[in-house]
Amino acid sequence: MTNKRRTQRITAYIVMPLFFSFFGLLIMYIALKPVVDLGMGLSMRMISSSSLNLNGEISSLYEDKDLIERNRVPISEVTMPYVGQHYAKLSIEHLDWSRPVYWGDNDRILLRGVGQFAGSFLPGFGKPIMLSGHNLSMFYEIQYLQVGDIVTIQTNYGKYDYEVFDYGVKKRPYTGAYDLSKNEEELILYTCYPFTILSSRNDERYFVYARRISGPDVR
Amino acid sequence: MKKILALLSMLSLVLLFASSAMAATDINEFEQKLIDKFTEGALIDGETVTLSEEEINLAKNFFMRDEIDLTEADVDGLLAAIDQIILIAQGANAVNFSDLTSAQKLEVVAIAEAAVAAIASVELTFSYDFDTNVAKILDGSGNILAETVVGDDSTVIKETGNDLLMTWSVLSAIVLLVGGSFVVARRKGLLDLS
Repeated sequence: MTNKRRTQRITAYIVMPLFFSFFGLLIMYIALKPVVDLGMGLSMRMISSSSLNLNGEISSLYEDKDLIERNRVPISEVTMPYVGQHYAKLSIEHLDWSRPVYWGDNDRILLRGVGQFAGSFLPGFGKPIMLSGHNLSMFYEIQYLQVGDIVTIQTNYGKYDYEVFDYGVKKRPYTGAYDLSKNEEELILYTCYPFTILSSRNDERYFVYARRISGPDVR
Repeated sequence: MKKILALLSMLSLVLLFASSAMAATDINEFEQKLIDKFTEGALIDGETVTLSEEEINLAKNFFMRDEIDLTEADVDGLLAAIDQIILIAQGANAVNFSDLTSAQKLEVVAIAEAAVAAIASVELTFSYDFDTNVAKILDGSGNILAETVVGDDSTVIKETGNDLLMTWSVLSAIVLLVGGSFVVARRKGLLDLS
């Protein structure tokens, strides 16, 4: 077979099929994007919810139990978690949704659950709480939160409800997106935006803001 | 410089941790001196450099996890270490940790490690990874008490978008689909390469 003929065959049977397959898949993706994103999100949540023991730093001190309602909790009852330690449960009752909350927010923690920025505070201390999660797994559902919705954080020492009062997209450098010096217990949830797999950009985040409406003060 | 102070704020954790029962406690007057120092900052190259609010919060959180209150002597020793580092930064006109030379960075980290070694009552390890710029303080059981990225840019907002696992899963699926189709087509004689 001559080289020209071989080149024609390669073009016809390899290059062109790959070319049309790629664009065919791209067109299919664009057409089926909502289904694909949902599927990828569900897959990611399945992966994340499986027992991935990525390293020995991940542990838990959280106990899922009924708590006695109190107005105040002595500080001695609060156990400060280690970095990577599961210490609370974040839930949205009307979405039938819950996630484990870990202290710290490095990459390993964010693969496992919701991470808390260690430069924010634990629930009950009257100071801001900043939580983050991956947009297609842990925090996919926060896009459905509306003003007035209730988000709950349950710890071993208290159950705290937060009412959403604002949400929106903020761009890097996120000026004004958060204020961790506030003397107010504001819950800040954020994740990458938009909520899609191939078009997520690193310079935008989706923020949800909620203020505490119930739960004991830590004294 | 503020990132250097962040490193030193980690040192304060060394002096605070006492046992594995990590019940929270209030910040005492001596610990408050450290917080005041972080807030006051230092004059470097004509600029007053302080820790960010987030970094101060990090220090406060770890002061609260202490079962044994920091003594005046502990704070004096830590303040002395902070002053040593400030002198290095002032000498180099380094506002950021990255502005220091490699030798100066090693010296700053050595000061932090020495402060850890000076604590006799508890077993703690201070570590700084020059590749990832992550500083950690661990207890004797390997639990991470504090962890922070010592970098020039704010490290508050993290990357929470597509993670590598899912991205590669999608790309791999596409490649397998195309490649698999080619193999099947060839086996069925739909493609004649001869």
